[in-house]
Amino acid sequence: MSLNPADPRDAPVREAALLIADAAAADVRTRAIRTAALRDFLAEDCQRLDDRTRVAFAALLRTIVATIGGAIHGDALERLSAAGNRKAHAALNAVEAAAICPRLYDHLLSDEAMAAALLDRVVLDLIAERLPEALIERSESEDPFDTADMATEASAVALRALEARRRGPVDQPPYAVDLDAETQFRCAWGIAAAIAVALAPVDAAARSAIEWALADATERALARHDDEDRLEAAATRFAVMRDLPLGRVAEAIEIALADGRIVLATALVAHALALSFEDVRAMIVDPRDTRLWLGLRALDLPRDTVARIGYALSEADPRRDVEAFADRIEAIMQIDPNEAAAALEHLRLPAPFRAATMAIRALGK
Amino acid sequence: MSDTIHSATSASARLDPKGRLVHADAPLVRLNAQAGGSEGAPLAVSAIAAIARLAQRLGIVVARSAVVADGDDDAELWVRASPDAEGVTLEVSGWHARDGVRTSSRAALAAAAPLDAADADVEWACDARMRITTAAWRDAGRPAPIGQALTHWLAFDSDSDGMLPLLAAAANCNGFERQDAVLREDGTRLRLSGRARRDAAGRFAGFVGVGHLIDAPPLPDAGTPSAFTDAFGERLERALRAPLARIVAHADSIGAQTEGPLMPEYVGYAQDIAGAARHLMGLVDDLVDLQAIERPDFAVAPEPIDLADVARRAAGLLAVRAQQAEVTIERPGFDDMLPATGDFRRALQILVNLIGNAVRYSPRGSSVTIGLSRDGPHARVTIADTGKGIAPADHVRVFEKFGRVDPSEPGGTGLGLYIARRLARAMAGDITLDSAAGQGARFTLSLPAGG
Repeated sequence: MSLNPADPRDAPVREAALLIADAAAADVRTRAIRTAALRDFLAEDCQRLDDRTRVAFAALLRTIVATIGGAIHGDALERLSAAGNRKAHAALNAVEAAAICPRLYDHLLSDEAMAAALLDRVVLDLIAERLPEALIERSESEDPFDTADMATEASAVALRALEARRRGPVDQPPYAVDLDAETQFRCAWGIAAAIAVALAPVDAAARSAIEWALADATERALARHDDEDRLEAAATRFAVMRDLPLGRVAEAIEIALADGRIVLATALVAHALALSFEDVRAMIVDPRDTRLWLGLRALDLPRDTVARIGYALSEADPRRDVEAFADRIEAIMQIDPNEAAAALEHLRLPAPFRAATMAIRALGK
Repeated sequence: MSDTIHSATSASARLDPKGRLVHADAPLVRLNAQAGGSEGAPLAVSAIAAIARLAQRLGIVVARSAVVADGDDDAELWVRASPDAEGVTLEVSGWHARDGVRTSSRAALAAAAPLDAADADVEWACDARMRITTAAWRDAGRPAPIGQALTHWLAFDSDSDGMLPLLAAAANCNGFERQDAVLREDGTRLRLSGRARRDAAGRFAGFVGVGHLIDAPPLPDAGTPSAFTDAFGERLERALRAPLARIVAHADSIGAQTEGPLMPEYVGYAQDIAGAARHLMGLVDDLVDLQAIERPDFAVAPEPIDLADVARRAAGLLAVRAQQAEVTIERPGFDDMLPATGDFRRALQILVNLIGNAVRYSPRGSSVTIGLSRDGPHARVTIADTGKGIAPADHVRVFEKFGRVDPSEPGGTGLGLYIARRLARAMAGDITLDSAAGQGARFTLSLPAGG
């Protein structure tokens, strides 16, 4: 018996077939849900994403798919249209972003390092929004960010523009996803593949044409990517070019935090410690990470500065406890700067080396 | 209001290293006494004492809000605690009973920002030296003069009193609205608003604000959404309507006491919640409309319509509201006809808006009249009320986005007339206003006359 969607007598039969198919998948689905629920139960509170972070992370992922995916999809459609391949064009046009997201997110977030970097970026941006304003008294003397060097000044101006761009919601124009080259690479190919997998059944020739169009579109999208047009890169560049002497780093960090410029503050600390931006960011976004205090001690920052940084982060990150920080600050200030620097020395090893070392250790002997 | 509440008062106090009150200004002495404290004893206002202790332990200035009991009310105060070797100096301000919230974080300040900030053409900020630190245009093609002096970027207009609102705000370290200015590079006019930022010493630390272009055409969308992303993004109505509908449903059922009796004030709270949520739903409707009409490809399909019929239907839709307001709507007679060209649904939307406004602003017992006329190539519907009228100086503002003559006037989103005029103009018509203060208002919808 054929199932004719237009024939109402076929409706119960159609539904029965769907129920049978659904039952076949039920066991797998139930197990996955139960596993996720148990993991959530076992997780500590501080390991779970709060609603604000969850929403912001979802918005970032959605915008990545919409912008990169939209560009690749649109470009591939144009190619197929120019080639006069109507069947392939229609099949590709029918793919919607919402359909590819679940499997795509699984694939993208399976890369731990990339997932962590995306999440850290979201958390840092959320912390920036809540930094207290009236943190310091502004000195009448020279601003540590003022410079007579034209190139550094241009870098400062570019940084301000990118900070302004990042302040807007990511899922509204100009869609500032600000991905580094490696993340952009992984996302672009993943999205192209997810689109190809989501195609409705189509003949081999059309499928091949679509896949080639997607691949070409992806390569062109990657060629257009400008790794320097990112807030994190601009902050790092400015910190390197400004190259503040150690005596002015404390003031610069405090002014940056007072102005809500936490990405700049992170870059200043990273440059002063000769560590990567990503490593210092990871210390800031994890409220339990004591390496942040080791880093500030390694720079021999004065007590006032350490106190203001700790206070600002506690005000901005509800996971941090300002009273607990006030209890610990004397112990933090007792840490010898040279010992603190030595404790962070291993962070200067290349990140892939450290990641592979941790992964192999986790496998056991 | 409790007579212990003071407005715009600040008070200082001094604590010793053990947190005992050494001396204080009268408002703080009174607050402390109400909490059972006295001079020489530990500060009894626990929220303020906690801030002082934190400042002392950290050894830095701490400035935060604190909610304290003041008589029968709560007061949200701004507390600045400065520690030194001999104790802590407190400066406490903002003695408003739970209004005028002073808050320390950008997110909270952004949440308290006026609605029109969400639709600004430019977000800007400057430092204490009035150098631009942010100039983010909605249209990314405009230059961002970062680092330049504000006065190099803009030429400022004086207001009707010959003042520059921005300069006055800088001098007083507070906010300003409606500072008109001209972009020096191309003469574009815009209107700025902003709030002052303060450093920990309370000194002026710059402005952060928004700007709206005056009389500028709408900017094009940043790219046409493709079929790939069209159904994909969280569209405004899906994102907001469902949760708002749930809020209204729950609040209504609480207010109706369906689960059992409640104390009267909780019934009132539930009704307030439902009312606020309904208002937000109205705003969502307006914002969805705004989104549609501001697309570059927005068009209405003209067809022959009978404006008299549309007016009768609009009046019918508002009959219940008019009855509740004890206002009579004098509809066109059933034999009246006024052929025109336009979109029926949009014309109905416009007249519902105009008649609804007229009912809202009409005194009890009065009438709203609907007049029909033909003037050469135009068919006109005039909605007339006998309310307080609108001064000619405000005639432009009422048609602006979020333009309200009196922002404290309840009801409405500030978008209705803006949307109505855009719709009328999209149908090759217009909406005009004839009114003066105290002389009612007459809004006229004109559309091309039909055959």
